[in-house]
Amino acid sequence: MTSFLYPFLEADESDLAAVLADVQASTVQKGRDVIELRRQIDLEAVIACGEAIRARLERGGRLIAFGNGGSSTDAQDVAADFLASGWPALALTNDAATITAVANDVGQENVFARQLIPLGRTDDVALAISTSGSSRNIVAGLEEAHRRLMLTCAVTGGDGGRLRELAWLDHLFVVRNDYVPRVQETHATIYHLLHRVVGARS
Amino acid sequence: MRPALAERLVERERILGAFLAAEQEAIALTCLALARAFSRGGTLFVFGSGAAATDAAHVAVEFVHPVIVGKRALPAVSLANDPSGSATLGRLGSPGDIALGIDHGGDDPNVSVFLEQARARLLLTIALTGAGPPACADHVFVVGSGDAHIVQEVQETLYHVLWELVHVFFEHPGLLDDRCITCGDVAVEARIVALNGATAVIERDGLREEIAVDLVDAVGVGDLVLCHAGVALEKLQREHA
Repeated sequence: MTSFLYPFLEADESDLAAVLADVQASTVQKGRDVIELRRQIDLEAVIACGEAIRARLERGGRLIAFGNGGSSTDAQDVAADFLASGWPALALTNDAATITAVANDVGQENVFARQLIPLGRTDDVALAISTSGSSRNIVAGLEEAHRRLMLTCAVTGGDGGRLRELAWLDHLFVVRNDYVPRVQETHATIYHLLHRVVGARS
Repeated sequence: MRPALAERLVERERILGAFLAAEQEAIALTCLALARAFSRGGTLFVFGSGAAATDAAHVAVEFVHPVIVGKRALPAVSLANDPSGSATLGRLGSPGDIALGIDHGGDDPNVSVFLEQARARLLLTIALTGAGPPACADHVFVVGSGDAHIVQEVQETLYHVLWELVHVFFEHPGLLDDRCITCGDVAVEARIVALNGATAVIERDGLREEIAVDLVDAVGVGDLVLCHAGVALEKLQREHA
Protein backbone atom coordinates (compact mmCIF):
# COMPACT_ATOMS: atom_id res chain seq x y z
CA MET A 1 0.00 0.00 0.00
CA THR A 2 2.75 2.43 0.91
CA SER A 3 4.65 1.44 -2.25
CA PHE A 4 2.44 3.85 -4.18
CA LEU A 5 3.52 6.70 -1.94
CA TYR A 6 7.11 5.63 -1.33
CA PRO A 7 8.29 3.54 -4.29
CA PHE A 8 11.95 4.39 -3.66
CA LEU A 9 11.76 3.47 0.00
CA GLU A 10 10.46 0.02 -0.86
CA ALA A 11 13.15 -0.49 -3.51
CA ASP A 12 15.82 0.61 -1.04
CA GLU A 13 14.59 -1.72 1.63
CA SER A 14 14.49 -4.78 -0.62
CA ASP A 15 17.96 -3.90 -1.95
CA LEU A 16 19.26 -3.73 1.58
CA ALA A 17 17.73 -7.08 2.47
CA ALA A 18 19.21 -8.66 -0.67
CA VAL A 19 22.68 -7.25 -0.05
CA LEU A 20 22.61 -8.29 3.60
CA ALA A 21 21.58 -11.80 2.54
CA ASP A 22 24.49 -11.92 0.05
CA VAL A 23 26.92 -10.76 2.72
CA GLN A 24 25.68 -13.42 5.14
CA ALA A 25 26.06 -16.21 2.60
CA SER A 26 29.52 -14.95 1.70
CA THR A 27 30.53 -14.92 5.38
CA VAL A 28 29.58 -18.57 5.85
CA GLN A 29 31.38 -19.56 2.63
CA LYS A 30 34.60 -17.83 3.73
CA GLY A 31 34.54 -19.95 6.89
CA ARG A 32 34.25 -23.11 4.77
CA ASP A 33 37.17 -21.95 2.62
CA VAL A 34 39.57 -21.57 5.52
CA ILE A 35 38.45 -24.86 7.07
CA GLU A 36 39.32 -26.58 3.77
CA LEU A 37 42.79 -24.97 3.70
CA ARG A 38 43.45 -26.04 7.30
CA ARG A 39 42.59 -29.65 6.43
CA GLN A 40 45.54 -29.62 4.00
CA ILE A 41 48.12 -28.77 6.69
CA ASP A 42 50.82 -31.46 6.81
CA LEU A 43 50.75 -32.35 10.51
CA GLU A 44 53.82 -34.63 10.26
CA ALA A 45 55.79 -31.67 8.90
CA VAL A 46 54.47 -29.47 11.73
CA ILE A 47 55.66 -32.03 14.28
CA ALA A 48 59.11 -32.34 12.64
CA CYS A 49 59.55 -28.55 12.49
CA GLY A 50 58.31 -28.04 16.06
CA GLU A 51 60.73 -30.66 17.38
CA ALA A 52 63.64 -29.09 15.49
CA ILE A 53 62.75 -25.65 16.90
CA ARG A 54 62.56 -27.07 20.42
CA ALA A 55 66.00 -28.70 20.04
CA ARG A 56 67.51 -25.30 19.11
CA LEU A 57 65.76 -23.47 21.94
CA GLU A 58 66.92 -26.08 24.46
CA ARG A 59 70.50 -25.45 23.30
CA GLY A 60 70.06 -21.77 24.18
CA GLY A 61 68.77 -20.50 20.83
CA ARG A 62 66.07 -17.90 20.34
CA LEU A 63 63.11 -17.68 18.00
CA ILE A 64 63.46 -14.73 15.59
CA ALA A 65 60.33 -14.16 13.50
CA PHE A 66 59.75 -11.79 10.61
CA GLY A 67 57.24 -10.90 7.91
CA ASN A 68 55.76 -7.95 6.00
CA GLY A 69 52.39 -6.25 6.49
CA GLY A 70 49.80 -8.56 8.05
CA SER A 71 52.48 -11.25 8.28
CA SER A 72 54.61 -8.90 10.39
CA THR A 73 51.82 -9.00 12.96
CA ASP A 74 51.88 -12.81 12.73
CA ALA A 75 55.62 -12.70 13.41
CA GLN A 76 54.98 -10.52 16.47
CA ASP A 77 52.17 -12.84 17.56
CA VAL A 78 54.23 -16.04 17.36
CA ALA A 79 57.07 -14.32 19.24
CA ALA A 80 54.57 -13.25 21.95
CA ASP A 81 53.30 -16.84 22.23
CA PHE A 82 56.81 -18.27 22.62
CA LEU A 83 57.69 -15.61 25.21
CA ALA A 84 54.53 -16.51 27.14
CA SER A 85 55.71 -20.15 27.19
CA GLY A 86 59.05 -19.17 28.69
CA TRP A 87 61.20 -19.17 25.51
CA PRO A 88 63.33 -16.28 24.29
CA ALA A 89 61.76 -14.85 21.15
CA LEU A 90 61.53 -11.61 19.22
CA ALA A 91 60.06 -10.22 16.03
CA LEU A 92 62.16 -8.12 13.65
CA THR A 93 59.29 -5.70 13.03
CA ASN A 94 58.97 -4.50 16.61
CA ASP A 95 61.24 -1.53 16.11
CA ALA A 96 60.04 1.13 13.67
CA ALA A 97 63.28 3.09 14.10
CA THR A 98 65.41 0.18 12.86
CA ILE A 99 63.03 -0.76 10.05
CA THR A 100 62.75 2.77 8.70
CA ALA A 101 66.48 3.45 9.10
CA VAL A 102 67.49 0.39 7.09
CA ALA A 103 64.73 0.84 4.51
CA ASN A 104 65.69 4.47 4.03
CA ASP A 105 69.47 3.98 3.93
CA VAL A 106 69.97 0.64 2.17
CA GLY A 107 66.57 -0.44 0.90
CA GLN A 108 63.59 -2.35 2.22
CA GLU A 109 64.96 -5.64 0.85
CA ASN A 110 67.56 -5.52 3.63
CA VAL A 111 65.40 -4.74 6.67
CA PHE A 112 65.54 -8.29 8.06
CA ALA A 113 68.98 -9.42 6.84
CA ARG A 114 70.56 -6.26 8.26
CA GLN A 115 69.17 -6.99 11.73
CA LEU A 116 70.25 -10.65 11.62
CA ILE A 117 73.89 -9.69 10.95
CA PRO A 118 74.41 -8.35 14.50
CA LEU A 119 71.60 -10.35 16.17
CA GLY A 120 71.62 -13.87 14.71
CA ARG A 121 73.47 -16.71 16.46
CA THR A 122 74.12 -20.29 15.43
CA ASP A 123 71.53 -21.85 17.73
CA ASP A 124 68.78 -19.39 16.81
CA VAL A 125 65.69 -20.16 14.76
CA ALA A 126 64.53 -17.95 11.87
CA LEU A 127 60.79 -18.16 11.23
CA ALA A 128 59.74 -16.22 8.13
CA ILE A 129 56.10 -15.65 7.22
CA SER A 130 55.17 -14.52 3.71
CA THR A 131 51.90 -15.02 1.84
CA SER A 132 53.61 -14.74 -1.56
CA GLY A 133 56.87 -16.51 -0.78
CA SER A 134 58.71 -14.10 -3.03
CA SER A 135 59.28 -10.97 -0.95
CA ARG A 136 62.91 -10.01 -1.44
CA ASN A 137 63.45 -9.04 2.18
CA ILE A 138 62.10 -12.41 3.35
CA VAL A 139 64.40 -14.33 1.00
CA ALA A 140 67.37 -12.13 1.98
CA GLY A 141 66.58 -12.59 5.68
CA LEU A 142 66.47 -16.37 5.35
CA GLU A 143 69.71 -16.35 3.34
CA GLU A 144 71.42 -14.38 6.10
CA ALA A 145 69.99 -16.75 8.74
CA HIS A 146 71.28 -19.73 6.75
CA ARG A 147 74.75 -18.15 6.49
CA ARG A 148 74.74 -17.87 10.27
CA LEU A 149 73.77 -21.56 10.58
CA MET A 150 70.44 -20.71 12.14
CA LEU A 151 67.54 -23.15 11.70
CA THR A 152 65.50 -21.77 8.79
CA CYS A 153 61.71 -22.16 8.73
CA ALA A 154 59.20 -20.48 6.43
CA VAL A 155 55.41 -20.35 6.18
CA THR A 156 54.08 -19.18 2.84
CA GLY A 157 51.19 -19.31 0.36
CA GLY A 158 50.43 -19.42 -3.37
CA ASP A 159 52.81 -21.83 -5.10
CA GLY A 160 55.57 -21.21 -2.56
CA GLY A 161 57.18 -18.53 -4.73
CA ARG A 162 60.93 -18.08 -4.54
CA LEU A 163 61.08 -19.85 -1.18
CA ARG A 164 60.52 -23.15 -3.02
CA GLU A 165 63.80 -22.63 -4.84
CA LEU A 166 65.84 -22.42 -1.62
CA ALA A 167 67.14 -26.01 -1.47
CA TRP A 168 68.82 -25.44 1.89
CA LEU A 169 65.65 -24.26 3.64
CA ASP A 170 65.10 -26.57 6.65
CA HIS A 171 61.28 -26.39 6.90
CA LEU A 172 58.76 -24.95 4.45
CA PHE A 173 54.96 -24.83 4.73
CA VAL A 174 53.03 -23.78 1.64
CA VAL A 175 49.31 -22.98 1.96
CA ARG A 176 48.33 -23.55 -1.66
CA ASN A 177 46.03 -20.62 -2.22
CA ASP A 178 46.36 -17.09 -3.59
CA TYR A 179 43.68 -15.39 -1.52
CA VAL A 180 45.62 -13.58 1.18
CA PRO A 181 43.02 -13.36 4.02
CA ARG A 182 42.37 -17.14 4.06
CA VAL A 183 46.10 -17.89 3.64
CA GLN A 184 46.91 -15.69 6.65
CA GLU A 185 44.24 -17.39 8.76
CA THR A 186 45.77 -20.77 7.89
CA HIS A 187 49.26 -19.43 8.68
CA ALA A 188 47.99 -18.54 12.16
CA THR A 189 46.89 -22.15 12.64
CA ILE A 190 50.28 -23.47 11.45
CA TYR A 191 52.32 -21.36 13.84
CA HIS A 192 49.88 -21.97 16.69
CA LEU A 193 50.29 -25.74 16.13
CA LEU A 194 54.09 -25.31 15.93
CA HIS A 195 53.93 -23.52 19.27
CA ARG A 196 51.92 -26.42 20.66
CA VAL A 197 54.48 -29.00 19.47
CA VAL A 198 57.36 -26.98 20.96
CA GLY A 199 55.48 -26.77 24.27
CA ALA A 200 56.45 -24.82 27.35
CA ARG A 201 59.98 -24.50 28.67
CA SER A 202 60.52 -27.04 31.46
CA MET B 1 51.32 -35.83 19.00
CA ARG B 2 49.55 -36.14 15.66
CA PRO B 3 46.13 -37.12 17.13
CA ALA B 4 46.34 -34.16 19.52
CA LEU B 5 47.00 -31.74 16.63
CA ALA B 6 44.26 -33.33 14.50
CA GLU B 7 41.83 -32.93 17.41
CA ARG B 8 42.71 -29.22 17.66
CA LEU B 9 41.95 -28.82 13.95
CA VAL B 10 38.54 -30.46 14.37
CA GLU B 11 37.85 -28.16 17.32
CA ARG B 12 38.75 -25.14 15.15
CA GLU B 13 36.25 -26.25 12.52
CA ARG B 14 33.55 -26.72 15.12
CA ILE B 15 34.07 -23.33 16.80
CA LEU B 16 34.46 -21.34 13.56
CA GLY B 17 31.51 -23.03 11.84
CA ALA B 18 29.21 -22.47 14.83
CA PHE B 19 30.36 -18.87 15.27
CA LEU B 20 29.78 -17.83 11.65
CA ALA B 21 26.44 -19.64 11.47
CA ALA B 22 25.22 -17.90 14.62
CA GLU B 23 26.69 -14.46 13.91
CA GLN B 24 26.26 -14.10 10.13
CA GLU B 25 23.43 -11.59 10.44
CA ALA B 26 25.22 -9.56 13.13
CA ILE B 27 28.37 -9.58 10.97
CA ALA B 28 26.43 -8.29 7.94
CA LEU B 29 24.82 -5.52 10.02
CA THR B 30 28.21 -4.56 11.44
CA CYS B 31 29.63 -4.33 7.90
CA LEU B 32 26.73 -2.02 7.03
CA ALA B 33 27.33 0.14 10.11
CA LEU B 34 31.05 0.31 9.25
CA ALA B 35 30.32 1.23 5.63
CA ARG B 36 27.95 4.00 6.72
CA ALA B 37 30.49 5.34 9.22
CA PHE B 38 33.30 5.31 6.64
CA SER B 39 31.07 6.94 4.03
CA ARG B 40 30.40 9.78 6.48
CA GLY B 41 34.13 10.31 6.99
CA GLY B 42 34.70 8.18 10.09
CA THR B 43 38.09 6.75 11.04
CA LEU B 44 38.56 3.29 12.52
CA PHE B 45 40.62 3.09 15.72
CA VAL B 46 41.74 -0.37 16.78
CA PHE B 47 43.11 -1.51 20.11
CA GLY B 48 44.29 -4.69 21.80
CA SER B 49 46.99 -5.45 24.33
CA GLY B 50 49.36 -8.38 24.72
CA ALA B 51 49.08 -10.76 21.76
CA ALA B 52 45.91 -8.93 20.65
CA ALA B 53 48.05 -5.84 19.97
CA THR B 54 49.26 -7.71 16.88
CA ASP B 55 45.67 -8.14 15.71
CA ALA B 56 45.04 -4.42 16.16
CA ALA B 57 48.02 -3.68 13.89
CA HIS B 58 46.79 -6.30 11.43
CA VAL B 59 43.35 -4.69 11.19
CA ALA B 60 44.84 -1.24 10.61
CA VAL B 61 47.10 -2.37 7.75
CA GLU B 62 44.24 -4.34 6.19
CA PHE B 63 42.03 -1.26 5.89
CA VAL B 64 44.70 1.32 5.03
CA HIS B 65 46.67 -0.77 2.54
CA PRO B 66 44.32 -3.37 1.03
CA VAL B 67 45.92 -6.64 -0.08
CA ILE B 68 43.43 -6.84 -2.91
CA VAL B 69 44.32 -4.42 -5.67
CA GLY B 70 41.52 -2.00 -6.48
CA LYS B 71 39.87 -2.01 -3.06
CA ARG B 72 39.45 1.47 -1.64
CA ALA B 73 41.86 2.43 1.16
CA LEU B 74 39.96 3.21 4.36
CA PRO B 75 41.20 5.30 7.29
CA ALA B 76 42.29 3.08 10.18
CA VAL B 77 44.82 3.48 12.97
CA SER B 78 46.04 0.98 15.53
CA LEU B 79 46.61 2.51 18.95
CA ALA B 80 48.28 -0.67 20.20
CA ASN B 81 51.77 0.55 19.30
CA ASP B 82 51.15 4.10 20.40
CA PRO B 83 53.32 4.96 23.42
CA SER B 84 50.33 6.80 24.90
CA GLY B 85 48.22 3.67 24.46
CA SER B 86 44.45 3.81 24.33
CA ALA B 87 44.54 7.27 25.98
CA THR B 88 45.30 8.56 22.47
CA LEU B 89 41.66 7.97 21.63
CA GLY B 90 40.68 10.83 23.95
CA ARG B 91 42.44 13.26 21.62
CA LEU B 92 42.04 11.60 18.22
CA GLY B 93 38.57 10.12 18.32
CA SER B 94 35.39 12.06 17.67
CA PRO B 95 31.69 11.27 17.15
CA GLY B 96 31.22 9.35 13.91
CA ASP B 97 34.48 7.46 14.26
CA ILE B 98 34.64 3.75 15.00
CA ALA B 99 36.42 1.94 17.84
CA LEU B 100 37.26 -1.76 17.58
CA GLY B 101 38.59 -3.46 20.71
CA ILE B 102 40.12 -6.96 20.55
CA ASP B 103 40.50 -9.27 23.54
CA HIS B 104 41.43 -12.95 23.20
CA GLY B 105 40.00 -13.58 26.67
CA GLY B 106 37.18 -11.54 28.12
CA ASP B 107 38.69 -9.52 30.90
CA ASP B 108 41.38 -7.24 29.47
CA PRO B 109 40.91 -4.00 31.46
CA ASN B 110 42.81 -2.05 28.79
CA VAL B 111 40.23 -2.98 26.18
CA SER B 112 37.39 -2.09 28.58
CA VAL B 113 38.89 1.35 29.18
CA PHE B 114 39.36 1.85 25.43
CA LEU B 115 35.71 0.98 24.71
CA GLU B 116 34.42 3.11 27.59
CA GLN B 117 36.35 6.10 26.31
CA ALA B 118 34.99 5.45 22.83
CA ARG B 119 31.41 5.31 24.08
CA ALA B 120 31.86 8.50 26.08
CA ARG B 121 33.06 10.21 22.91
CA LEU B 122 30.08 8.85 20.92
CA LEU B 123 32.06 6.57 18.63
CA LEU B 124 30.50 3.47 17.11
CA THR B 125 31.95 0.62 19.19
CA ILE B 126 32.75 -2.98 18.23
CA ALA B 127 34.15 -5.54 20.66
CA LEU B 128 35.74 -8.90 19.81
CA THR B 129 36.16 -11.01 22.92
CA GLY B 130 36.74 -14.62 23.98
CA ALA B 131 34.55 -16.48 26.40
CA GLY B 132 33.88 -14.15 29.27
CA PRO B 133 31.59 -11.36 30.40
CA PRO B 134 30.20 -9.51 27.39
CA ALA B 135 31.99 -6.28 26.63
CA CYS B 136 30.08 -3.03 26.54
CA ALA B 137 29.82 -2.03 22.87
CA ASP B 138 27.29 -1.45 20.09
CA HIS B 139 28.37 -4.66 18.33
CA VAL B 140 29.77 -7.46 20.49
CA PHE B 141 31.18 -10.72 19.14
CA VAL B 142 32.00 -13.41 21.68
CA VAL B 143 33.92 -16.47 20.50
CA GLY B 144 33.05 -19.32 22.83
CA SER B 145 36.31 -21.18 23.36
CA GLY B 146 38.74 -21.51 26.24
CA ASP B 147 41.59 -21.96 23.72
CA ALA B 148 42.99 -18.45 23.19
CA HIS B 149 44.61 -19.52 19.89
CA ILE B 150 41.27 -20.65 18.49
CA VAL B 151 39.59 -17.46 19.73
CA GLN B 152 42.27 -15.43 17.98
CA GLU B 153 41.95 -17.34 14.70
CA VAL B 154 38.16 -16.93 14.65
CA GLN B 155 38.62 -13.22 15.41
CA GLU B 156 41.10 -12.98 12.52
CA THR B 157 38.57 -14.51 10.15
CA LEU B 158 35.97 -12.13 11.58
CA TYR B 159 38.01 -8.97 11.04
CA HIS B 160 39.08 -10.13 7.60
CA VAL B 161 35.41 -10.73 6.72
CA LEU B 162 34.40 -7.32 8.10
CA TRP B 163 37.07 -5.74 5.91
CA GLU B 164 36.23 -7.85 2.84
CA LEU B 165 32.49 -7.29 3.03
CA VAL B 166 32.39 -3.64 4.05
CA HIS B 167 33.39 -3.03 0.42
CA VAL B 168 30.23 -4.77 -0.82
CA PHE B 169 28.18 -1.89 0.59
CA PHE B 170 30.33 0.69 -1.21
CA GLU B 171 29.07 -0.91 -4.43
CA HIS B 172 25.54 0.04 -3.33
CA PRO B 173 25.89 3.72 -2.46
CA GLY B 174 22.10 4.04 -2.24
CA LEU B 175 22.25 2.01 0.97
CA LEU B 176 24.80 4.38 2.47
CA ASP B 177 22.79 7.55 2.08
CA ASP B 178 23.23 9.89 4.92
CA ARG B 179 19.57 9.48 5.66
CA CYS B 180 18.30 11.71 8.41
CA ILE B 181 16.19 10.11 11.11
CA THR B 182 14.41 13.24 12.30
CA CYS B 183 14.06 15.17 9.04
CA GLY B 184 10.69 13.76 7.97
CA ASP B 185 7.34 15.50 8.13
CA VAL B 186 6.31 13.72 11.30
CA ALA B 187 8.02 13.06 14.61
CA VAL B 188 9.48 9.57 15.00
CA GLU B 189 10.37 7.31 17.88
CA ALA B 190 14.05 6.45 18.37
CA ARG B 191 16.16 4.97 21.12
CA ILE B 192 18.95 6.85 22.86
CA VAL B 193 22.24 4.95 22.60
CA ALA B 194 24.59 7.55 24.04
CA LEU B 195 24.27 10.68 26.10
CA ASN B 196 26.62 13.60 26.55
CA GLY B 197 25.11 16.49 28.49
CA ALA B 198 22.32 18.07 26.46
CA THR B 199 23.20 16.02 23.37
CA ALA B 200 22.23 12.43 22.67
CA VAL B 201 22.83 9.95 19.89
CA ILE B 202 19.68 8.18 18.78
CA GLU B 203 19.40 5.02 16.73
CA ARG B 204 16.63 3.84 14.46
CA ASP B 205 16.81 1.13 11.76
CA GLY B 206 20.59 0.98 12.02
CA LEU B 207 21.00 4.72 11.48
CA ARG B 208 22.31 7.14 14.06
CA GLU B 209 21.93 10.82 14.61
CA GLU B 210 22.92 13.37 17.18
CA ILE B 211 20.00 15.32 18.65
CA ALA B 212 19.39 17.87 21.39
CA VAL B 213 17.67 16.55 24.53
CA ASP B 214 17.43 19.70 26.62
CA LEU B 215 13.65 19.94 26.10
CA VAL B 216 13.01 16.64 27.87
CA ASP B 217 13.66 15.81 31.51
CA ALA B 218 15.96 13.09 32.79
CA VAL B 219 16.46 10.92 29.76
CA GLY B 220 19.01 8.10 29.81
CA VAL B 221 20.64 5.59 27.51
CA GLY B 222 18.06 3.04 26.43
CA ASP B 223 15.11 5.47 26.66
CA LEU B 224 12.74 5.82 23.78
CA VAL B 225 12.11 9.42 22.71
CA LEU B 226 9.83 11.09 20.23
CA CYS B 227 11.93 13.40 18.11
CA HIS B 228 11.75 15.74 15.15
CA ALA B 229 14.18 18.05 13.37
CA GLY B 230 17.14 17.26 15.56
CA VAL B 231 15.32 17.72 18.84
CA ALA B 232 13.84 15.25 21.35
CA LEU B 233 10.26 16.38 22.06
CA GLU B 234 9.03 13.85 24.55
CA LYS B 235 10.28 10.90 26.55
CA LEU B 236 8.06 7.89 25.87
CA GLN B 237 7.02 5.57 28.66
CA ARG B 238 8.57 2.11 28.61
CA GLU B 239 5.19 0.42 28.02
CA HIS B 240 4.91 2.27 24.73
CA ALA B 241 8.20 0.77 23.56
